[in-house]
Amino acid sequence: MRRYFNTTMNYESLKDFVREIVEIKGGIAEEKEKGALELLLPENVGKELFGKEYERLSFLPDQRQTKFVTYGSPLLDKIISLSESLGKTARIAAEDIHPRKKNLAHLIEDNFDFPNSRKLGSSIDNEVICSYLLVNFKVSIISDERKEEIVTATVDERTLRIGREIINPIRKLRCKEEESPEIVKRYPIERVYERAKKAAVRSLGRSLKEVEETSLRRLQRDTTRLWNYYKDLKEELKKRMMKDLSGEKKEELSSKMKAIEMEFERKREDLIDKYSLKVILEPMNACRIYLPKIVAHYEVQRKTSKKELEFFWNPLTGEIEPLVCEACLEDTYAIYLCDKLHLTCPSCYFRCQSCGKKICKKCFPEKCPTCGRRY
Amino acid sequence: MKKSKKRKERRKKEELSYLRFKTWELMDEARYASMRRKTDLAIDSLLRAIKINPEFLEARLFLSSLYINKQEYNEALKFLLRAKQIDPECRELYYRLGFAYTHLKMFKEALGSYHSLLSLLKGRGLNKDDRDLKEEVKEEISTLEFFLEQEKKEKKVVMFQPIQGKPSPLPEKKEGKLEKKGKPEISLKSLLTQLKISKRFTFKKDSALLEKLEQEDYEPFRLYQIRMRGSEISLLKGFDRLLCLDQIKETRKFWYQIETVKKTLRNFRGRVLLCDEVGLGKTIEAGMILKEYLIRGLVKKVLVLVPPSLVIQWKDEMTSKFNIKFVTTDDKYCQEEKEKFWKKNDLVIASLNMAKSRGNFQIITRIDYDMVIVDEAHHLKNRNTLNWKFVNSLKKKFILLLTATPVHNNLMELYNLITLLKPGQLKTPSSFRRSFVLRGDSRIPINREKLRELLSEVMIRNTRSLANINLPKRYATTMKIRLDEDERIFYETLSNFVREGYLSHRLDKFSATLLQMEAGSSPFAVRSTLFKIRERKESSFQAIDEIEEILHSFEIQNCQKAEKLMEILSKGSEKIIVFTNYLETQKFLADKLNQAGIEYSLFNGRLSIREKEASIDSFQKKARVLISTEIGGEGKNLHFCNTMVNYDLPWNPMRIEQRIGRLHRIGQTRDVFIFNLCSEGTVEDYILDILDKKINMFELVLGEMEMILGNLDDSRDFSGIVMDIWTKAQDREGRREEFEKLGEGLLQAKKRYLQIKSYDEEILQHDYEL
Repeated sequence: MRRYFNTTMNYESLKDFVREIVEIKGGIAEEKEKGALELLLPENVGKELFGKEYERLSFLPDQRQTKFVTYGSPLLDKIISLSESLGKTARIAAEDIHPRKKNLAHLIEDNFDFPNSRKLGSSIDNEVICSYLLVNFKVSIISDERKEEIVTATVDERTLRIGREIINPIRKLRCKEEESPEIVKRYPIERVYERAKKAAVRSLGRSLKEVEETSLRRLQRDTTRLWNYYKDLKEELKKRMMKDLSGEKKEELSSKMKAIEMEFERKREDLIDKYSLKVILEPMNACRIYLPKIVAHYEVQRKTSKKELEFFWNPLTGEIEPLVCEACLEDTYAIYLCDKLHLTCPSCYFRCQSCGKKICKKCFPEKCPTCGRRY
Repeated sequence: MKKSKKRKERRKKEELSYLRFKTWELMDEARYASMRRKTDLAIDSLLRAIKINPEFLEARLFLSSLYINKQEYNEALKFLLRAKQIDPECRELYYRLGFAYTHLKMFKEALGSYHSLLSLLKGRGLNKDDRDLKEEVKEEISTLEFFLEQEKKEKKVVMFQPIQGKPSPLPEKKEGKLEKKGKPEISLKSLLTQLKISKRFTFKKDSALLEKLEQEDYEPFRLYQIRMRGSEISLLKGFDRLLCLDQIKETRKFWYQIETVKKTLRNFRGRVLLCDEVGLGKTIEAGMILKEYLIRGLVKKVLVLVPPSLVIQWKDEMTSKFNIKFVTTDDKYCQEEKEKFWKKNDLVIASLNMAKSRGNFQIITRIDYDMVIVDEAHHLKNRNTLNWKFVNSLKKKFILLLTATPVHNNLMELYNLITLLKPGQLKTPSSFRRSFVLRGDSRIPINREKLRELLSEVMIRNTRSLANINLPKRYATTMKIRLDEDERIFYETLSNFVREGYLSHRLDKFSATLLQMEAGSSPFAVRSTLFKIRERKESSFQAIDEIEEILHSFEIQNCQKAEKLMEILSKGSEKIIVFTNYLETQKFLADKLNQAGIEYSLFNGRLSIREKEASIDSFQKKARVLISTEIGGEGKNLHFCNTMVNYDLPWNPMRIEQRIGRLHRIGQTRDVFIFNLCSEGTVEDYILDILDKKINMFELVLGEMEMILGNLDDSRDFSGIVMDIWTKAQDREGRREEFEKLGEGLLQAKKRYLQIKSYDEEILQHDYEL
């Protein structure tokens, strides 16, 4: 779920990129020789990049009368910086997707549990346009080294579900840019964005784990080295202390011993700090993706109150989507309703271990209202 | 009345509820105080909480941990013992009890607690943390059992041992505080297990982005795509992603190799001393670094300097794995038009000896190289040698030095290598000696921390333990076969022919060596070479007559070696790979297996890629035996087989190792069994005696044989040495003596290697791992 595009990075790809940037900026790029481009740029762009409007760039080394551009070269960095102000937001719709699923009721029966509520009626299935927000984050993982990558998070804006299913199919689907459909129900952008942040952190899982393992290994190695060093120092001191010394001398050595121990602790904390991970996520750009789905409305009853739930059939996965717990925002197929009709998952609707009271984590996020026990 | 009773009850309930709430507030207070390192305040809050609710388990556990941190174990014990009465099944409780008892040297009680904890950690529903805890507890138990054993032996009196009739193990209180009996140290192991990496996430704000989304202010999708591509390209700048990985074929890429490459490119900027332990793939790492630079267009002109015996090996590996086509100094053109050769060719592999020679030195040192790679770089350890001066004189942007043993005799060798990479990194020789070498013993370092800091800027040394390479064992059996009369006559006749031909120069060295090797394989392998020699125009009449005589004597009905092979195959049903060097022998063995009704598959260099794959597939699914002549193509997975037979033996021990390496490698889960077949009195008999009995080659780690051969005081290659002994010795006794000397030489070389290895491990330890 990390990269939106799977480009083969070789000189051709680099050349195409430069050509596109130049054209977007109003210039002309021509390939008169293999692996080289002749550029004619608007004045301001030319001045910024090369100090002049005409330039010849090559993407293969050793071409005469050209400037060589490759990964990591300062010239390429300048060209890339031109792209940084472009394409902050975009929208696309999946073309040729016409969901035709009927009778979601059976699917709902098969897939969902309602342990503490009663199902009432359901509405007729309708086609509805839903939107996903795809946000790309530039991630820097810093410990004693720095690692950078791009992470993509996708959130269903109507339900706040993390929509992993959209990424791979969307590469294969035909997409068109179009006006936003008129009625698209969605959560406020701030909430969707908060959810996207959580999704991004989750996506980092594997690469973060690798960095964590490497850092832990180095931390253990350095801690061992430190421990051995201070152990040797203490042993030397102990030997001196075991000699028949005056009380004052013994006290002096004893306080030296304490000082060594304190120093060891301090250095150990420094090491822990050195290898701790600082993860910085910076949003780069975002894209809204519209996808038609089939929705069925279902009424459920808890005690005397009723609540309407929406169930979606997703044409990309060919399955009915789980619902989203209002407390932890995780997917769930087991639906619990509290007395205030919050929809929760089994982990967020439970009995307090101390007093046995039924707790809804949406209502009481931190501690039991009866006995105050934290969870 | 009733109402007031109800009211009273309700009030009591409310009060109780309030008190319970209060205890948790005190708990929060204690946590907060503890975070600010105000332990006494935290203890105070917890004591108040316990006073309100004596059954408050969490408070007791927290209190005990605070006392443990203060090393007041007796206090901690008090609260833990009471907590045990509240909840006898609390795991945390037993863990802390064990800890406290241990530090009070009450080993028996500690053991009891840990056993109780272990009994709570039973069942299948354990998660990873529980399993880790279980392992830790088991280790603690074995440590305690050890201590108790020791105490019994030394008859030491355990502190606080309960006197008969008095159950309490705790000493008397003195002035409200317990007497401290010194500060027991936290073990390294427990320190390491407690280590965790903390993570902090920071999100940078971009209100403009959110605003644009809110207002549905969009740009064309094309611009979005361009932005993404630009970001991806900029990531590549930092070498976080390697371009070469997709282009490397038929090679497994290990995580530590990829990380080494990234670190070299990112941190060391292409100048590094790669000294991974043997067998970890330094060549692959160097190849990946080179490939990455080539793809990025940062390198064009490359010089690889290797020992003479490795020139062809390097060329083959670079071609087959990395698709990088090098020329070598074996090229005739190199001899004829030197200057043109060196200047025109961008990718050259040369032996260091050849490159530094008079005719080439001046030419090469005038050329601007982008990259220089030196394999077995320990040959540059002495700055006064021509080797060192030559490499130092080369003009280069990037340089990779590869060696598993960077230090042999003293630390100045390391200094000399590092100075080639980064002159001035270790300052001047005298400054280095003063700062980092013990006076009077140039092998011992001082100021290790500082030295380590400086070396870690230019050096990577991955170890087998880091790479987590745990291979199963390998067992080798040499089976000596007594030749029957016909076979013996044939072998002796041929050997005499070869000997006389070689010494009289009627036979060139290559043909003579080939014939002798083939004779060790089978008479069928010899025949085709003899035919070719007979057909050659320059063969003398005498030679032709001799050849005719040998061919006429070629009427061997039985082949004892083949019979032995059939005997091995009859004892079991395991899949077996039979290695032989020669196609004719392969054909012969195939016929033999056919006659015996044993299903087999053939693998040799003449098969196309598809046919090779089909052959391996057939071996895996149907055939019991694979008869193979081809040893290349590491990508072929043969892990499902763990038994091999060397039907004949290459004279180069590294080729034997390569054969074994097809089975005994990462991914193999079973012990590997190797059967070496050799006929008595043949060259192979002597070779196996040396390699197996003298230096235990089959028990060495992959790559060590090469190191040992590198230490041999003989510049000829091994097969050349063997051929010389075989042909020049006057008689059997003479041959035996010469082979004995060779064996001794190898043994000394092995000892030298092991000494160097041990010294390197002591100096470098794990300090330069990733």
